[in-house]
Amino acid sequence: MPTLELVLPLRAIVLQALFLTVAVAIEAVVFQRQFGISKSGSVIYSFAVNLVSTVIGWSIFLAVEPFLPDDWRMAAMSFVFFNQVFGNLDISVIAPVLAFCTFLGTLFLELQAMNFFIRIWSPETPPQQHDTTRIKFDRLSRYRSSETSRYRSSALLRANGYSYGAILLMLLVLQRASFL
Amino acid sequence: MKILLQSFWQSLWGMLRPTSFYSWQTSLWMSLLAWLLAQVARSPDQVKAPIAVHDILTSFSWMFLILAVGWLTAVQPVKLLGQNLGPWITGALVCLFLFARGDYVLPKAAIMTWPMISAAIAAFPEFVDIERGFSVPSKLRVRQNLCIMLLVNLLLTSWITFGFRINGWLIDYPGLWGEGFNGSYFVMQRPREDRDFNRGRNIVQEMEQQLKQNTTFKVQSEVERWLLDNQNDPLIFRDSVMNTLATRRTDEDDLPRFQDDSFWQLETIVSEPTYNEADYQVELRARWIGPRVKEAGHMVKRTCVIDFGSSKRASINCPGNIIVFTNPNDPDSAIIPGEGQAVDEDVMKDIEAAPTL
Repeated sequence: MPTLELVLPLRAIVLQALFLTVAVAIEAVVFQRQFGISKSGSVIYSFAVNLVSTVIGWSIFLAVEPFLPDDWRMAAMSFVFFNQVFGNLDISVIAPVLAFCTFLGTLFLELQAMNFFIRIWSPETPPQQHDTTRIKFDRLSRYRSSETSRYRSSALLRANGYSYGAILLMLLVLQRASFL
Repeated sequence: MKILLQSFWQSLWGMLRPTSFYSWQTSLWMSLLAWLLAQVARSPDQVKAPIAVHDILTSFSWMFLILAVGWLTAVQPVKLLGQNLGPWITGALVCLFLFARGDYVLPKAAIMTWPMISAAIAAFPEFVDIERGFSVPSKLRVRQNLCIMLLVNLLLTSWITFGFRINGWLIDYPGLWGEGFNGSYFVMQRPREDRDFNRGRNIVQEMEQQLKQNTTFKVQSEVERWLLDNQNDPLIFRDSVMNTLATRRTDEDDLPRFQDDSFWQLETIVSEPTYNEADYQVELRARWIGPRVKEAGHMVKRTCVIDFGSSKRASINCPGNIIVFTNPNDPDSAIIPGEGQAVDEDVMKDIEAAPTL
């Protein structure tokens, strides 16, 4: 147990930067097509939205980690240091559940973040939500005109689906490459 | 040579000479002046000033230095990939000023707050104008850049915190060092060194101590009783070993207790001696069952022999070295530490001696 040797999470930093770049690139294309906004605008939106979800994800992990039971901390340490999970946890159940929850959580966070950024960067935005109160008599058209926010979330769902798929693919390739 | 020095001096002076009262050079000279005064204030034979004066003057010196550097980097930006790095240089100075000065040094706090302090410094000019005072920037591009910069710095803070967290794990669970970080997506792989197994080695040494304490000069039935108890209740033996180690650590070195106690499995394996006239051979093993690369973690062991001799009282002798197996299923993975020490061939021979009793 060396006392003064620091272990730097360099690989984590490089991999996360890589995954962020890929996710931003993919999601920017989706936003650009779905919302019909400029290239640079879509890149900034997808970058900001992805950064928000990443930072909140890190914060949750860093805040929760000290209170984890020993089993869970052991799993976390195995995963971080050895890319392995041994212990009493049944990983085949937990990993998919965790992945699904992460995906949903990311989606929810990104939707909130996108609404927030649209509000504070009011000019150059994806299509504004129409003012439905003006349409007084026709319920159907009022319903249709409020679709923009739903449209936003379906675009985000699609963008996230693509970027998660791409990152998963990269992870699989990495896994395979490290076995070679 | 003289001309060279002269021109050098002139260009230096030309750079450092305050062009007007409001300039970074003024701030730099003020910082230097405050520092000089602080040195004077400290020296006891010249001025019998209290220590507080020295501290205040040093703080002033720091503040003027920070102002000067911030000002200079604002006037002449240091650019990398189109991004002005000035605020991060100033931010580093601010962190040093706040957390790494004088008697109290908090490197962790200094590094962790660095990105956010720098972001605040970078954002400051966008919000504050000399003529208009405080105002939220109205330009879209500026707002977007501010948000992105804040988020990127939050991400940097997360990475730094994560780095400290994993190093904290390695301090609390020192047995982790004994497993190389193979295949990790988070940290770089590193070759395992001899000292990485120190934790396991300390445990085995303590096991040996306890074996000697509990059996030396005892008659055969008492020794057998102790060995049997250890085999039936290995957890009690582990607690005893771990508590002794922890007390030694907390009392003598005043360090916090390790938390990887439950990640070690202690085994005392008794067998017939293979190379000696002794009566028993005891293998003391500490097996790492914490987070690990392969299902079988690393193992540290030492072989001792118990001899009752003619006096019918036990004497314990541990002839071999402490051996580390990076893979317990593979005898070739043995590491015998200590340079220049001859390896006992007989010990190597019965590495995987069948446990009996």
